[in-house]
Amino acid sequence: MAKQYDGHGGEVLTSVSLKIEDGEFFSIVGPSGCGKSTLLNLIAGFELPTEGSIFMDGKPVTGPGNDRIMMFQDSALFPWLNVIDNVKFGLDIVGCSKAEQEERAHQYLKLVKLDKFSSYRVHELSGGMKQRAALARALAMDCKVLLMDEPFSALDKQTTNILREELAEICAAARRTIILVTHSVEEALFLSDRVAVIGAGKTGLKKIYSVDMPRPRQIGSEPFLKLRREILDDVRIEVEQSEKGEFD
Amino acid sequence: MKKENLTKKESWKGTLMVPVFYVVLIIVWQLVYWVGTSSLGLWKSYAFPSPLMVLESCISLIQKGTLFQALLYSIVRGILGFGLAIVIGFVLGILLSLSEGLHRCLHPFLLGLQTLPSICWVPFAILWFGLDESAIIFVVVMGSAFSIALSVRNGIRNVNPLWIKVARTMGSNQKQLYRKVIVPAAMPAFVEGLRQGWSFAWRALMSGEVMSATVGLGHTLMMGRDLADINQVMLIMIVIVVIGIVIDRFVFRQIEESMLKKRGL
Ligand SMILES: Nc1ncnc2c1ncn2[C@@H]1O[C@H](COP(=O)(O)OP(=O)(O)O)[C@@H](O)[C@H]1O
Ligand SMILES: [Mg+2]
Repeated sequence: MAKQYDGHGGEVLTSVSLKIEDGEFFSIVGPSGCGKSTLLNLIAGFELPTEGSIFMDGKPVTGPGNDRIMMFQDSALFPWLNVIDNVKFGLDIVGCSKAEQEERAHQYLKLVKLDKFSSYRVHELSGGMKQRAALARALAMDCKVLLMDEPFSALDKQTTNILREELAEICAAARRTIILVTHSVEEALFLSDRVAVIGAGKTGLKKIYSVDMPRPRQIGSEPFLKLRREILDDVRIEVEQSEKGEFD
Repeated sequence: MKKENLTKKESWKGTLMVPVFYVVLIIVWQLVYWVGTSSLGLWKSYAFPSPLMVLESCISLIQKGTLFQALLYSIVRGILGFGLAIVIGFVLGILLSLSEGLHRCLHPFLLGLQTLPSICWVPFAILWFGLDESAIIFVVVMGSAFSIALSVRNGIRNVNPLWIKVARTMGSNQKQLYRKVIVPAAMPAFVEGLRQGWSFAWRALMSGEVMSATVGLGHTLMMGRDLADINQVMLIMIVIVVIGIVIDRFVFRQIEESMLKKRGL
């Protein structure tokens, strides 16, 4: 599969070939501008590949669909709705009954620890609470695949750490396939079954690491640090190469 | 003690300052009238309005029923014309939002029409419709529909693209996208567009009435001129301004503020 934009962008992703298993937590890291968001947009169906195709359960992806829900760096909650109505938004779109909407919304608000804030308005939430509400809105959809594009990168470090641990717990509770784009190798290693590195020099997928460590993972542990070092070196080489490329 | 002083000061600024300013302004106006017309002889008394004479004129017009009738006619015309302008403005605005090409072609033309003072439509309207109610309504529509259309188009186009992406990733169809995301997201822009449209409509209505009506505020204004009654002229001008402000303040601003407050803006 490959993706090419018209104009200056040119070819962003060359020959990406990838199979993600059911129920897997898959992370994508790489230098900025390497096409991580592009890859997620392709999987979500917002963009179509210029070559090749993407299959979901054997069926080709031709557009967005609610079996794959995307989350963004910005929570993108609707400010004209309160928290619970935001969570019900997608349920209403797929035509759930009012009672079911109510029940599912409460269930997932509880999961992300926002059940006490269900009648709050969006502007009354902190950044971390907004992202949790967006997560509840996505999870409530009962989607097979959750696509997350740097969901924590707009938050402060402490909130990010808390949310990472919560995400690990939530994922254990609500078994979904998750594809996470992040610029933090640590975050990827903490959460994922596999971590993919995308190359900068329009090379596409560079390497996929399997993370065989028991959960909950210890960020300070020996194998964790070793694998982190290895991936960071890999990404760093990529950054250096891409910078050299720019100066050539 | 100090704190009390402070709150007293604040309440003076918050509630009393504005009314007191206008009372003082009116008193100064009356003084200028007295000094300017009798002591210094700068103006003839019939060429310079005074607050007391305006008030007298007001009472007399109310007693004759003229003011109420004029108000009623103007407001009904305003509602009809503005209502029609809203319908046309929204239809046109939605069409413009759907086609970037159409917008590129029509944008300069619509902006041009917007700079044309409404009074310039009056001769055309009279030739087209005759001296008729529909001529005035036409002037109101031409004065405000295009501004509404452009606001509606911009409101729809400026909806946060992430919100649209959220709706699409949840599998919404076109109708749900409009009903559940685009319309509520663009609502503040719509209200702002209507507010601006109303101010254009009200001005256009007065132009139309001054030129062609047989009853209405604009007509009463012209009657004042024909009677050489500067106090009646002044009175009607004040009424026109007050109605414009009241509707802006207590209809549009009210809706706008409550909506923005709900969204935390
Ligand atoms: N819609 C688009 N049209 C043209 N070029 C694009 C578009 N979206 C992204 N690009 C280009 O593709 C490259 C990868 O972008 P992106 O996937 O957002 O990178 P990342 O998320 O890894 O930082 C960038 O060089 C960007 O300029
Ligand atoms: Mg990105």
